[in-house]
Amino acid sequence: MSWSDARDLLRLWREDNERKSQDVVNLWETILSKNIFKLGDERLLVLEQVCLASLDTNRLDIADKCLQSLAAEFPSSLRVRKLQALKLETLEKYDEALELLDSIIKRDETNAAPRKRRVAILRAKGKHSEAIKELTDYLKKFMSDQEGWQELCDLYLLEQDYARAAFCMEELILHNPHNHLIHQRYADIRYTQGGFENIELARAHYSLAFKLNPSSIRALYGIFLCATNIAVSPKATSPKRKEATKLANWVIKELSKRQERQNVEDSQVAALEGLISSVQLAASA
Amino acid sequence: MADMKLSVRAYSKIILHAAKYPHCAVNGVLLAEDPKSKDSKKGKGLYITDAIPLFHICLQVTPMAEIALTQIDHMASNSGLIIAGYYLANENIKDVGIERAGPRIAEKIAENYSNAYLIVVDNQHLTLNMDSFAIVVSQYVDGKWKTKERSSYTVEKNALDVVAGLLQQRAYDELVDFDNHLDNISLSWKNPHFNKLVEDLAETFGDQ
Repeated sequence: MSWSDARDLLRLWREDNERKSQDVVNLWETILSKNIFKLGDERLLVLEQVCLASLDTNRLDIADKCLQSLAAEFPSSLRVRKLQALKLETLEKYDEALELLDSIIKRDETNAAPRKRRVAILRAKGKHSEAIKELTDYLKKFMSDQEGWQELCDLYLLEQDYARAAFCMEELILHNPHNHLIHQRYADIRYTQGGFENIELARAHYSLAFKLNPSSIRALYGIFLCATNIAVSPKATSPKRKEATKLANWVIKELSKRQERQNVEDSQVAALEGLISSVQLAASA
Repeated sequence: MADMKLSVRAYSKIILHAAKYPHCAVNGVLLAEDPKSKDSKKGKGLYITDAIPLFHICLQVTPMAEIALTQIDHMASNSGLIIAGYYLANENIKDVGIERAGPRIAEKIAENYSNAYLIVVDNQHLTLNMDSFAIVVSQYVDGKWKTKERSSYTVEKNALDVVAGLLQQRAYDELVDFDNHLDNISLSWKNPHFNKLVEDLAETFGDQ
């Protein structure tokens, strides 16, 4: 592979925010470290990317070199200081890292990144409730930070606080009404909470996720589960039950179609058909 | 005499699933030979032959887990196996508890098989050389998960060498979990290709 191919690959991973740390480090060692000055303006971005990847893969030798180059270039940069705090995190020197981050926050109150690193450190220490508190304070100031809402949702799920996790997902839906993944995750949370209203809500969002992305298998399975649940629920009226049973049958057909298209063996559908027959017995009762 | 024996295949899949997603929590189910089937040898304890890796994305929500368990149950009963346990690896390196990663699934499995096993990966003992077994085994007794002593279970011979070999080859890229399957249904969560890799490597270590 030539150095320009490697550079393009790194750029692609940077833009897609992919965490291919081992691959980045390999590319750096084999190709890019010798050709670093051919990269022009991208050199600094690549140095930052390689620094993060090497911290991820415990290659502190590479991380040190990158940090030295970056610090030489920008001696008083807060962005470089944040990377130094990250290195302290890697070494599990959490208190020193927190001190460094606090100093960055003092220098620039509007800088979101060190505040988020503080939350990450609390999560790494296993202090989830403190991380949640810190993150909610952060989100009161930086309300439109979607990454923050996503992280808060994850933290609430870890603490099994499904109601608040659903609220975070609702915020994300407001920001991104056309993102099928958010609707699907919201539906997952509602389904997990259980109860007739939640399952109907889950079904609505799974259907929307499927409409936004017809190749989403998770959305299809989600519709199936909600439909089977509604069909046997004592709270559902008879027309709703019939509709739900029809929906479940439709999902099975869709799944079979997709499996045929991809030449997959059909044991998956057979298992679901077992579920459906038990549903039909119950719905007709 | 050991109450439980863990096969090379099951142990490899557990460890490699954790290694594939070092930044996530992962979970999966354990399949064992049905003790009630005619072929199994009576009185030799539970033989866990296989592990099915489930998820690495969001372990706390249940719908995909329900689908997975339905399909695995269907496949297991057609192959003389039962879902006998659950394994998980937490995202935090020091965490060996089960509250964070899907305790509901573990309890559901225990409902169907009363003495279900729970294997938690001990992240701090995961190394490329695999000097010791990086797992903590518990069993469901009287409504609680009781940790089992090392002497109460055995792992099939050569397991450590096989896993070290697989890790160094980066064989975890070939391992398919249920999340991978949901993203691309042509990938099979039964992992026939990976199972073959394990078998081939185990053979090279021979009958030491």
